[in-house]
Amino acid sequence: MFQYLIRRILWAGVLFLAVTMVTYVIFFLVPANPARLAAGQSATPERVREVEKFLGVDQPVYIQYVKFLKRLVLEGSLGQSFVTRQSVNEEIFRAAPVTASLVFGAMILVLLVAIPLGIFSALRPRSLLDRAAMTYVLIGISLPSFWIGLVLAYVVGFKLGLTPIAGYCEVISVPEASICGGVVDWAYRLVLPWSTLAIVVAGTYVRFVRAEVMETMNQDYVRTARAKGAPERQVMSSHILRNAMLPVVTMIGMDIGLLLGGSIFIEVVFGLPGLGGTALESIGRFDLPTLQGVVIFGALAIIVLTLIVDLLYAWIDPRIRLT
Amino acid sequence: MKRRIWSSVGMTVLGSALLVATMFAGTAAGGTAAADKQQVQQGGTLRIVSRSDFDYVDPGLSYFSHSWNMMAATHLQLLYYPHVEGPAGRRLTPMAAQGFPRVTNGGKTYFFAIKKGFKFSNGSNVTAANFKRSFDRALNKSMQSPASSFLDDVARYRTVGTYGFQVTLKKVAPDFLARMSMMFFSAVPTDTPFTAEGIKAPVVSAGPYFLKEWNQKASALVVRNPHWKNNQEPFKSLGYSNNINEFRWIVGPDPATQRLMCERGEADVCSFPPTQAKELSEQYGINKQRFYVKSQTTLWYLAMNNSRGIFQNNLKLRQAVSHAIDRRFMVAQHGYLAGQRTDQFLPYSMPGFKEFNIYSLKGPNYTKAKSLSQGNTRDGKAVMYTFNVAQGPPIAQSVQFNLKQIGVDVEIKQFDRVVQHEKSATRGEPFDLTLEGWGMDYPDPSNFINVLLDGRRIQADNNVNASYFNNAAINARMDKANAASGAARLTAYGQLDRDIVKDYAPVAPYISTNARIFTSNTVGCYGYTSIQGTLLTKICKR
Repeated sequence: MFQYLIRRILWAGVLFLAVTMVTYVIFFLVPANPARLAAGQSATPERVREVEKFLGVDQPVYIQYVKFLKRLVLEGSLGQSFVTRQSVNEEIFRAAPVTASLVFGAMILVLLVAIPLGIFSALRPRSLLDRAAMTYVLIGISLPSFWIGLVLAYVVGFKLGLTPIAGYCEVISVPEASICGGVVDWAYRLVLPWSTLAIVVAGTYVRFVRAEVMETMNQDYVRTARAKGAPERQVMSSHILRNAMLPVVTMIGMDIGLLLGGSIFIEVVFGLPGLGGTALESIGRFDLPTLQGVVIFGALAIIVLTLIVDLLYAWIDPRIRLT
Repeated sequence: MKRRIWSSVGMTVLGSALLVATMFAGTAAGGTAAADKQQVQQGGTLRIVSRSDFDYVDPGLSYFSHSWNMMAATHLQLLYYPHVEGPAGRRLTPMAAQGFPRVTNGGKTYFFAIKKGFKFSNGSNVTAANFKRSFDRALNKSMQSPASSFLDDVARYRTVGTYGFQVTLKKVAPDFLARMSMMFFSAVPTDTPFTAEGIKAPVVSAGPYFLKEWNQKASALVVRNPHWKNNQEPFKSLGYSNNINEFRWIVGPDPATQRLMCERGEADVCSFPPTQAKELSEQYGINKQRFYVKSQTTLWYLAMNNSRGIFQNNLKLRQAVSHAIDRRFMVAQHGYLAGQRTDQFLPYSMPGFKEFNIYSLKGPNYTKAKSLSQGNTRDGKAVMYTFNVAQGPPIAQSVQFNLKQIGVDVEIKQFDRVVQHEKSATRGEPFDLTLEGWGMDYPDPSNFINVLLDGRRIQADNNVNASYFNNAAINARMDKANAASGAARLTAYGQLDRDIVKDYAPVAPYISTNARIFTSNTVGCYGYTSIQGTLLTKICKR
């Protein structure tokens, strides 16, 4: 177990290096100079050189990259934004809880909807419920999240007036400038974003759970359990669901990791100040440190969640050994 | 200032990307009844929703137009453009200064006498030292302020007593006073630090309001300066209404969501997708209630590369291009009511603008264009740079079609806006045409003509003269116009505008843009000037 953890952590380090290096390389392949953007239009070449030095982009890319790594490892600093000159750490710490609120809330909704629906569809294939579920799957997978978000904002928020249309509320230390605050407001404002993300993601999960349950139901050990007279409830919980849920756990881990990297469209539609919006803005403004910060956060989220999933695997199914 | 234009391109892209969804939302929103006219109220909260946040709240660093729009209500300048619509709003007027400065030393030394009585939001008096501090900060290396380039010609500056501020320039610069209206040079407390990150909220300022709180990418709160007394001098003569008690900014929602927020009353001042402008105009009328269309000082134009290829030393072909392009189509690509067609380089609301009819605004004039291009198309091939979103591609295709009719084959090269600008700003880059835009830094015609067309400013890279136009006679006339002041200055620039576009045609302007704003039905009065944008000091609730 210990060896496994060490190996995974080392591998995570390699992955981390690869991700940051690729981001750096892609950024510098784009023929634009962030110093020129920061210096302002019609700045003299001398002024641009000054700003290059100020931003630290006056040195070769590999030196910039080494400096970035050194600063990150030794000081835990992601640097400063090229555009706002604010600490990227602060930007990430400010945005990450917003994205986490969106993702974890939505994933709870996804599981509440997808698992029962997938199981019932598998138990009654080609029934009315199954067909309805598959229609929903098709819609969830096909429609873009921003469209679903806007339709929900229009119908539920604007026409019916059941929820606010957009915005985010802090749960604790509510700023005076905010128009809302507290747990109730926080949840109330997130109902539509949660629903939007859940509609999009749950479709895949319903189909996946259905397929896994159907496949497991036809396994020999399930037939054997039934032949031995095990009650259907026990067959379902101990033999079918326990095995069918294993790949679902993996998928949840990966999806949460991916979504934590930023749910750009949903954050933009509902005006959530999360990582997705931050990444989008930093791309548009050619702000490498901020973009790098979001990428690193997303990569770390995937690495950590994958590790957790692997550990969970061994716990759910003792036959799996961590070697 | 291109940052502002990039920002507007970004907004347009978002709107276009969400076209299908927004059409759904837009067409079904017609049920809201038009609000009846009600009594104007004093007080209340105005909620402004914005897609993007302020860049900084530090006047020494901020350069985004919506940041300046907020600062116009929170900061005190030596001179300002009054917060009133019409010609008076375009007339430079003393604000903290007792009057226009005393100019000596052959026009190079300016002495400002500061009015007594202005106070910062913390209760301290505004003195000359507060304006000196803004200069100190602009020029301090550790600030890396974009303001420094607007003080390039300042030789020295100092306070004279408590209320005198003297600035000496290296050479005569009649646009210096217009520059002093920029937010960079607002009064700041003398202990405001030199910091590259900029100061944070609460921001002590001496305007009618001050920024109490700023939560980046989320919200901001501006409240009244308790020491600003509307009915007393020196405040009274500035004519501010200051109806609203507090302003709250909600940052983030996309334009389609913003419109819904204003329709439902969750916000008061909103943007909306460009595709919904027609519907809003039909629903609420234009400039009557809720939907406002106001002229800006921003121009989009087709720059022809005068330093190489088929347009170099080829006046007739450049003129032919200006006759051949379809301005009606090009303007339509910016969206309904997005601007007025133009063939001139100064925007309609820029002081000094005088209307001339030089090229066809209705559509291509191929007859005239062909007569000019005949025998002047050289190899008949041109490369056009454009950005790859919003109006960029369709306008490039339109130009390609139009120029084909006069014997020029245009190859279109699309880039991200940042990359396109970087390329076209580099001397020697192999392009013949590029789509460009410019918004003013301060309302003086030199900020368009001298900045964008003075060939002596061309450098290795980071050029804004995208046409690489460099004509000694015109440069001399620019110098002469720039040395003039008052009505003579505006007349000289108006004439220069005409002569450049007609007799040299380095660029083909096509749109002078409009701002389009949507408000909630609780907004009672609304003011806008092309210089300040939405007048926060003028706006009121019902």
